[in-house]
Amino acid sequence: MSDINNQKDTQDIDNLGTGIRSIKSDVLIWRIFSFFLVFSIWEVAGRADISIAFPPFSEVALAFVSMIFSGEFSEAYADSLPPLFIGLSITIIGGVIIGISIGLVRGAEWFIMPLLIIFQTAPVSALIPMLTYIYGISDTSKVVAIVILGMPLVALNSYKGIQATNPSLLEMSESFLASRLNTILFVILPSAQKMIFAGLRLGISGAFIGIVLAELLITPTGIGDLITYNRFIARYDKMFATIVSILVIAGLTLGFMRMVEEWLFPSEKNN
Amino acid sequence: MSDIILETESIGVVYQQSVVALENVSLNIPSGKLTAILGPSGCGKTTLLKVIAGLIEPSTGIIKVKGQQITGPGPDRALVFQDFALLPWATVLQNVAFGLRARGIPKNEREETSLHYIKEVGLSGFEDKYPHQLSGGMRQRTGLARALTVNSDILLMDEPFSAVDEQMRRKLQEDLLNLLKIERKSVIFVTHSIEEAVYLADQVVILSGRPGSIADIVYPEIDRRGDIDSIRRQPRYIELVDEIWGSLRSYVE
Repeated sequence: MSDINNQKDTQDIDNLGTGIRSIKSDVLIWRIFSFFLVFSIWEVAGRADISIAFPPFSEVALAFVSMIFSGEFSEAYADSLPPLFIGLSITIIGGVIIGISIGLVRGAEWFIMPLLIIFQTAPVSALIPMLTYIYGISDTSKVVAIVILGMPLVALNSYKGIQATNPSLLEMSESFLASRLNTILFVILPSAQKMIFAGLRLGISGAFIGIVLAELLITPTGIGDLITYNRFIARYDKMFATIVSILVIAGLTLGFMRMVEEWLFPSEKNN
Repeated sequence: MSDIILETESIGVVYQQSVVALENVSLNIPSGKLTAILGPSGCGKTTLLKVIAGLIEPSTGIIKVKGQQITGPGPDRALVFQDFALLPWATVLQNVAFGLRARGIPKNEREETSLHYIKEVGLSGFEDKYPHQLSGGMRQRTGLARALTVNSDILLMDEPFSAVDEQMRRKLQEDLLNLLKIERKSVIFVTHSIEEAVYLADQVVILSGRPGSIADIVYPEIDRRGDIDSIRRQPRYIELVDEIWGSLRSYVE
């Protein structure tokens, strides 16, 4: 075969690519603007004297900074981060392994899926007070709360990602004599990658809901306690500052996951 | 008649105990020739190809390659897919090298082989492109190069040019004929196009519809030694297209 007819097509697509990249730098500006907008509205609403329990943004920001330096945050997070870290690790590693296994092994699907679907759809937070009866007021209850809120999302999405592998690619792999292991490594896992990471992002959000719920409902320690305590003594600025700090940490964790994904799968398709 | 490289003996395929997709298909595939399997849609021609590829187990009958019965995919056969079956996250080079990678060939060696065939199918300069950056024709060239790298004697092509436009299809057909002058392969080519079958094939197997069985076998015996442009002007070509349409017409209802 000799000549190539579609050079032009390819160039057009390349140009489109650079177009997308220049849009991307604009995105940052829009994001900053959206934060600015929300904070401004917050500031105005806070000053409008709606409720004493709703301080303006500036007060919350000041409280945030003061709590960093007073050691209130570091003390609370010293209680909250270790179980969060353990719970997240179990959620991520366990969820991906379970999801991939039920996607690959026939039969495992019937065994584990019903449980996962129940955990995904049922109001699991209602189960959290029950954990106190089983594990007492301990870090274990926090870890369990995180795992039951986060892991089903990770496992289900990983499973769906594996199931969604294009059957034609599987046939291709088989016809080119790839072993089962090579098919999993070269075809199934790369194909499921996006769904798995989408599940991880959802699971991480679930895990953060889990830790906050556990600390609000079961064990009055850590950030949950900081929220409850400040509400109790009517320091609403500090209460909101604590909530904002959780959002920041959740955001950073999700950003970190994105970096891991980009590092593991540095593919053109991600652009 | 030349040597027989592959034969099927009374192949039958039944789906779900009741749907008969293929019935009593016995075929001889001559070595170094192109055999087209032609039939209306739903006649089981792709099923037949996948049985020959070893991807579908026949309910009855056996397949022999060079006299040896086969039970699954093997190194003697390589497949080109209708939907290209390219890995969207892999470059042209990585896609072409897939078969060699699956066989554990070291990176340097498989890339060297792959680059050779990428050049042969006319994709030089596109090694690092991804499938979504290629046109349909270029994607199928990638699929063809992948099938060539594993150096199988038999090339199985499942409606390879049906997903590209008419002009590109003609170009790909010409290029395939030119390529087969260099690469001595035995090709089994599934198509629903009478023109394509007559243009390319040395042997045209006509399948009747539901259940698929052999209705007729035609040997075009068109002179392809000269200019490939002239094939479509040969009286024999025009005659045959008419004749095959005559025998297929009754199945297309």
